[in-house]
Amino acid sequence: MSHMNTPDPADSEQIPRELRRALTNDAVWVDPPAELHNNALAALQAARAASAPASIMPNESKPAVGTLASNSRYVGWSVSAAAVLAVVGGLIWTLLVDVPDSSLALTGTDLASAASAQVEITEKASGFEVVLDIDDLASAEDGSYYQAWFKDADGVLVTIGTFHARESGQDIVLWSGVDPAEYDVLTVTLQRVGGGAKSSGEVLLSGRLNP
Amino acid sequence: MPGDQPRPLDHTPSVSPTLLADFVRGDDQAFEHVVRLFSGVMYAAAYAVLGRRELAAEAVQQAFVAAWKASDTFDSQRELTPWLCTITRRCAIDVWRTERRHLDEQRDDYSLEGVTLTGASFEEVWEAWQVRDAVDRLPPDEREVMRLHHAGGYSHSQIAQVIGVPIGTVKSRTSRAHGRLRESLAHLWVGADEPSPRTGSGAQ
Repeated sequence: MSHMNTPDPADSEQIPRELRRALTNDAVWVDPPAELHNNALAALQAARAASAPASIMPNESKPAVGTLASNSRYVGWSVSAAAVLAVVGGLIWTLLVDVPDSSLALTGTDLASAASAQVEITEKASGFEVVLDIDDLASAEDGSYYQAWFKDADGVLVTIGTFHARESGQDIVLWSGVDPAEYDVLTVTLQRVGGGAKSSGEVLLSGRLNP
Repeated sequence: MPGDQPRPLDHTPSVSPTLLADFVRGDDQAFEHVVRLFSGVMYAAAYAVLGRRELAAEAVQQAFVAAWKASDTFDSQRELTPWLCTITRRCAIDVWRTERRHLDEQRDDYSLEGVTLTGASFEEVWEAWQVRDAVDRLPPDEREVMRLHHAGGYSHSQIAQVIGVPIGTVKSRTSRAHGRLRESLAHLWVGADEPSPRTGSGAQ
């Protein structure tokens, strides 16, 4: 905010000095980034996905459903040892066979036909690391930003982060709390600051894992 | 006149007992509600520590994850906000340490300009949290006047020009906003100086 001059002291004399001082604290007025809410939820999803006990529960194929903290408390549930062993064995098999490091290519849509990207996905302890190496996509203009999404077969979108690509040549590192094996379509949209948390629908890049 | 007194800010608790119980239980929707309710003030608290927007945002994300991990240890008889504030400050300091370590590794002649910890104590961060919360609860027209006046340094006459209203309106909004803030935040500065009696009335 521009600083035109020092306020007229008479304007502020009706309030205690401490309050006047507190109101000049930048922290009181700084606006959170538009994507903060979404990114916080994405971070929670990633943390939950990394919570191993949640994955051994039956009927929990989609990490986006269920409770957050309670997932880490399932250990105490009364499950027979044989069932646990069977499910854990299945989990290990799944991790080894179904979710290897993977890659995919994104192609530009009509909105960014020259753009393309190579994407590498690596499962880490805190979630899936998604690295975008983007070519020929202009940096997001002021007031806008890019947002990446995973989409499942039902069309459910889960954001994996936002970026502006204002430093060329830099890989974009994003994180997913959902399994790309299920959410196998990756898109990048153009978003407007203040435009809300939902996808704008303006897809610039799109690609499918294992097409 | 009593009729000129501004209405106090809404102090209806933002976190109902049901929500708090669901939060402790680790319910998804309760967490989403908490994120929606507190991301703004947590961002203010993190910014009070770090003084940088992008680091503050990172700290808030980490704070929510930390809160989730610790939610089952939270005593639901206590207030949620100081607990979240404590976590936010701790995560902000962790983010600062990580950033400093990163710069240490990258630069030989590094300077930590712009990555300096403000050294904000818990009391200072808590003050920023509560003032931010109180300001966010102001009616939008009063909040805008407060922002221009206290953050922008605009005088009443300048604010009148900027937002296109008579100066008397600016003064009355200022007075009402100050009244609400003074009342809702009085507990923060018990024993602090009293306002000047010269300008204690409403519209000037």
